[in-house]
Amino acid sequence: MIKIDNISFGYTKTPVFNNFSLTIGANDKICLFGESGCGKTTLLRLILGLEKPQKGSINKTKGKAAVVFQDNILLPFKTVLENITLMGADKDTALFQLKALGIESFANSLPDELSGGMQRRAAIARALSTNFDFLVLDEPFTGLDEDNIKLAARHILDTVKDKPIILVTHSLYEAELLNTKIIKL
Amino acid sequence: MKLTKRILSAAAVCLLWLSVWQLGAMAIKQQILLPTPLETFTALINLAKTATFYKAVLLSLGRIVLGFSLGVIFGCLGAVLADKSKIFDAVTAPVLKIIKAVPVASFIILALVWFYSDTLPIFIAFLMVLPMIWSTVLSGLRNIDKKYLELAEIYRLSHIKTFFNIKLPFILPSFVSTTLTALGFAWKSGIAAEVLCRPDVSLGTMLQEAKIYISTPDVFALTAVVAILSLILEAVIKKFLRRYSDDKNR
Repeated sequence: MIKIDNISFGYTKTPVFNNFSLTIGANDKICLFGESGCGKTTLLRLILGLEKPQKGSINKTKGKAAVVFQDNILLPFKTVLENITLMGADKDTALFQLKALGIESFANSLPDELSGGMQRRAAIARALSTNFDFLVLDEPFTGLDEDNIKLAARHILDTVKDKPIILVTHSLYEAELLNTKIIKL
Repeated sequence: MKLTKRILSAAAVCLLWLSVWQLGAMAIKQQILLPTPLETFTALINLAKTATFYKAVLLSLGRIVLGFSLGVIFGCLGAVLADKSKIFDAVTAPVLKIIKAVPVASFIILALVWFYSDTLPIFIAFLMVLPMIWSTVLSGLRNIDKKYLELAEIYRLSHIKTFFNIKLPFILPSFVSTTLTALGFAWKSGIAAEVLCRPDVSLGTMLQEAKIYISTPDVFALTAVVAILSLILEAVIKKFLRRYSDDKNR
């Protein structure tokens, strides 16, 4: 469970969040929805511990996160498989995830040798390969075609099952694919 | 075929410059001002017949490699610490600026008071290398895209794993080129220090003595030895660093 309790946060004097509270249950799949600049990614960063709230607190009963950021953030000098195992995944799980997302044959390729969509799937595979307590997805399907979005969404749900998912997207369709409850910011 | 062509073209360039040197020496006709390539080569052969020459080569090489290695090690350590601690960075930054700004000759003269002549070249080579490596590693660490480090933080990678798998590969290309430049500086400043402080046995001392006895062919021959050793050392370190860099950046 993730409990966000009365947090306030802002990069400038204008706060992005003022006394904001939210509770994410053990099995919750939620989608943070709102206009650009409303603080969706900032809230993800706060949940991930990359930013500290200026007021209030964020408590996580189990704190190990897996994340797919807006950027793929694959190390250019490591192969796809090395990018995944470096983050703590074992090789077999990594290969299984790559296979499920249709890019197993590129396991030993460098990220630059992959198309944008393949790199995206590699980033998803990395997140799903680790032993996490909750999954954070920030626009996870950017650059994927319709079929691959469906494939990835189905695979994410199969893998995550009873763990929380926190999704940020501009697409209601993607929010529905992941069976998320929409929370408007 | 390509290699043969490269060797032939390098030989042709060498021959061209040797001819220019020979013509210049023939025009001046004064060995004291400009010896011919043959006179220089003869001086080199004569030097190579003495045991002192080999001892000097080994000791000079040892001193400079030691100073260079210490500069690389402490430069890396200092940069890592400065990246971690703003206070350490603030305290050390002015010292590095001073080392960079002060002419090497001033340091040599100052260090003559502080060190024995045998250890002074080590200190001078160290002093030349330290700020170069420090600045390069520090700016490399600071320019790594924050996103990669945040990812490592989220996945709870240890500091050691983050350093060797993320930070080091990113800074390695600039580290390699700066290390090679620093080696050249260490070599030149180390020999200059030897010339001024004159340890018992060293290439710098031999150079100074050749100058005192106005033996220009010896000066030329010793300079050639210094240049050749510098090139060999650079090639060895280049090969080592490139191999390590290729392993990391494969």
